[in-house]
Amino acid sequence: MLKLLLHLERLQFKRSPVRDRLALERGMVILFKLLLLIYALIMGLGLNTFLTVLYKDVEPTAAFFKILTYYFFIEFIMRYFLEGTPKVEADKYLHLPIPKKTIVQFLLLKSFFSFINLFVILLFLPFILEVVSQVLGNVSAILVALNLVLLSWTVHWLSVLVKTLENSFYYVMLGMIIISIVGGLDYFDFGVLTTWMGQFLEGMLPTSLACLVLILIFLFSYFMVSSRYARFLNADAHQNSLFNITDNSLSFLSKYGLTGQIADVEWKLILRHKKSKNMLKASFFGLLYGFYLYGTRLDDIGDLDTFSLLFPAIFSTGIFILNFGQFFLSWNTSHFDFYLNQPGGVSSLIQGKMMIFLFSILIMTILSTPYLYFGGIFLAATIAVGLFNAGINMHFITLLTIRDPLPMDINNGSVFNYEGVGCAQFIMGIPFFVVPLLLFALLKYWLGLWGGIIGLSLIGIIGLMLFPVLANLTISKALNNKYTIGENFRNKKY
Amino acid sequence: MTTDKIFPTYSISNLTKNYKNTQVLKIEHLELEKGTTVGLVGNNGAGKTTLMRCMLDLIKPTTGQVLFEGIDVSTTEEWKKYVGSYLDENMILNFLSPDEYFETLRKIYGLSEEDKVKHIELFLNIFNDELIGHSKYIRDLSKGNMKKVGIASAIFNNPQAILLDEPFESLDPTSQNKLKELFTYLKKERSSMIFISSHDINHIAQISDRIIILEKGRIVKDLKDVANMREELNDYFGTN
Repeated sequence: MLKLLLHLERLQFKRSPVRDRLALERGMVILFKLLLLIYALIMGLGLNTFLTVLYKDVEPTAAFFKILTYYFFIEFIMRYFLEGTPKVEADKYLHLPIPKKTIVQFLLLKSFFSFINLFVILLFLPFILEVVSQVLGNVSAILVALNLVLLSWTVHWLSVLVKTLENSFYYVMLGMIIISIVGGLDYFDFGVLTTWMGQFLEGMLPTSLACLVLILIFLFSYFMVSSRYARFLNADAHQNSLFNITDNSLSFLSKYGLTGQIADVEWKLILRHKKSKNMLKASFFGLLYGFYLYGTRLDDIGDLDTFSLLFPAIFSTGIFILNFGQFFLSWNTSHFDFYLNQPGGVSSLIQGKMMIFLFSILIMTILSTPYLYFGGIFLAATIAVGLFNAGINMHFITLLTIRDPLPMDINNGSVFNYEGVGCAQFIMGIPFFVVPLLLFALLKYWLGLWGGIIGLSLIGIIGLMLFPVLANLTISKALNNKYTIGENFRNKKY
Repeated sequence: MTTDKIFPTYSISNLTKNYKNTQVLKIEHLELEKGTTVGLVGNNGAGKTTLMRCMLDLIKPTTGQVLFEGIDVSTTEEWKKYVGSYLDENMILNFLSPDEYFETLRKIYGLSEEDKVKHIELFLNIFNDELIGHSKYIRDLSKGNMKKVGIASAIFNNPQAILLDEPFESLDPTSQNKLKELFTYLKKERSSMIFISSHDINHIAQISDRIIILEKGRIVKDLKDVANMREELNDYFGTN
């Protein structure tokens, strides 16, 4: 039965009308994964050196067991974000006499074959062979390796389990904050927690008892997940949470005529679909990134280069438009005919989206005001880049993606879901980042640092004043393409 | 756009649509008059939906043109204010609740609150107290209820032409009858042109002034004799 299900899945891929594109996307994903694995191997080979540098006064083996706590947390985060949820595509099998158990088994087994399983081996096996086997002996070293793999597998089920929880994202965020605090304490030598954990693991992992216990935990976690999944397989299980709608309207937008009304509708679309909701959350990470990058450069602010000054600003004020703009019209796959069918529908839709984009830049810029803490120049750069993003960059993105928007299922929220991704999505990051960086570098060269910032702002303001003209470029392209876009979306060839 | 009497509501000429090497639609000439209810029937794949999509400028015909009151639909958007349609779920914002959706339509069409209430009242007995004032997204509604929302949105702006694809499908018998009454009302009171495709011979024969039978993209029969319609349809489809 499992074999049959696997066969059907292969056929689905092989017979997909967009197989070539899917294959290309898969190729890209595989390449990306391979790259991560190579990094892991390089880090694994250098782990011994790394540990002696990081923990000067600690034995390498003790240090090794100490960092395991961090590692498994990071692995959990990686699994949570990078592994797709075992897709509940079971609806089409539920009416057939296939036991639910089999379907669950299939979904879970499929999820289990993940490239992240290799991380623990690539990262730690070299060290275990080189150092641990010397200190603790070969048998213990093998047990350590085995137990690490078992732990890693258990983490996989844990992440699958957490994903089925409602609001799991917030728990994960909370976990990330806690581990950052622990790490901070550790860094300043206040941390005893990881030392205790390290000592505990050092005592336990080389034993065969631990091996037995871990096997039991692994099996237990599998059964937990599978029983939870079986409950999720009922056709209406994933609907229940939707029954009560909340009024999350940006009603002030609807004061701005038809465009504002559609902006309000678009906002609802963002809040009421999985993929868009995930992207919205991810957008706020952009802000943290700025804090991180500016924070680490505090000591050499004097000779801050263009890149370090501008990049976080482009990122934090622009990540929303980058995230949502890349799928510009694809968000409306399921109801594009609605807009085609309204007088002025498509142009209002595009302007409504742009209104949301401008609004997001405003919000992100306001939220970046704490950058003031690092110095006025950072806030000024953020505002300048915000203006540039609003005046110029937004149109770059919409123009690039309007060419050939691909249909997309916006209820599918996983990270490696490449629906709607075409060539434009891969190349558009280039103008988005490179153009403002280049412009700024040139202006700075001629007019100095503040000249660059003011110049960039002015260009942005001019772009904003030309908004109707620039927006029209995208609109007229969309109208020229409307039959093709409509047909693609109607046929929904993901 | 004024309803000048010289022009029929819809006038279609030399309309063809090809997909690769297959011709799915070939209509030499078709005129649809104001104040009439026209049924469109044909077996699966006859080209009914394709014809309607061409009439709404949703797809580009290979050759020929569609005129709405004398104006080529592919050249302007003005006519969209006067044509209401519901073909399938792609034409509905399914992530809104029915209330939110109607409110959105009200703003798009620039109608007053009273207009909206009046319009919804037309549908109250069809909605059967299940759609208005309930907090449920359209995507979570049953198929029949979703269709009701779609049909109500097609008629929202008091249009001169109404195009509906299979309006009776998946509605309960009570709603089907009420919908037929509504069509009669619209034709009489507002002299709208109603163009409906259906597989239900009884319903379509009952409300239509004219029935067009489509086969492999071509009009094979244009029935105008109301008295004998049902019989002719049954003859054609080999039912009875």
